[in-house]
Amino acid sequence: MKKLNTIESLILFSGHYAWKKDFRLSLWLLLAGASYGAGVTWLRNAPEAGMYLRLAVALFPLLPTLLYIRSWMRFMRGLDELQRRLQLEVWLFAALGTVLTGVVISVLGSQAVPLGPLAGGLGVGGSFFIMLGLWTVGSIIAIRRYR
Amino acid sequence: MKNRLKELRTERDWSQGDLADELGVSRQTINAIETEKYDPSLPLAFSIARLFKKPIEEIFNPEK
Repeated sequence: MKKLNTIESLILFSGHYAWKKDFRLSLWLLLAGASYGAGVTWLRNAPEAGMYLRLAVALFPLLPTLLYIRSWMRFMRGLDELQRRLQLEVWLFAALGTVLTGVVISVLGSQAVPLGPLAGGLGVGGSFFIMLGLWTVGSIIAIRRYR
Repeated sequence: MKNRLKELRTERDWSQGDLADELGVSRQTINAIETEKYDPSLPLAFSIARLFKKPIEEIFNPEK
């Protein structure tokens, strides 16, 4: 049987999920996260490094990120039509929700509302976790609607 | 859109999963079509018609 890697099979562990396919997808995300973390740490500890080297290190995570996006596009093409529509709706919900959260935090910050660690905005990590959280919520809603 | 997918499937004693496997789609897709929450694309509608050996208009009816 062709493994479609639907949201339902991922969350409900139905046994129809191709983990190898998902591993390839997640590998690029892990690499992007690791290279971003390593790059930020290195940039903080090497202020004397040349501008071009600093630029290359800062931009390096873009490469695995682009490969991650390519893997997602391939993954989407492998889905059936309803699953593709669900994924698009879920991603739209997650992306717009993240933008809205960023705007709300920015507006609250401009009104001198104490935001603690979010005072400087969502940042890369915050945006990622908000998007991941919204993607999970959206997926659960989608599964319940088309159970 | 009204359809006779569930009726045709149960006549053949197929589960939603069996039909999904035949058509290369997920069980959710079959369920969503049967419960009229989702209208299939034209290629999928043709695949369904071919599988049940019936014209599309005998399976799907937008006017009912």
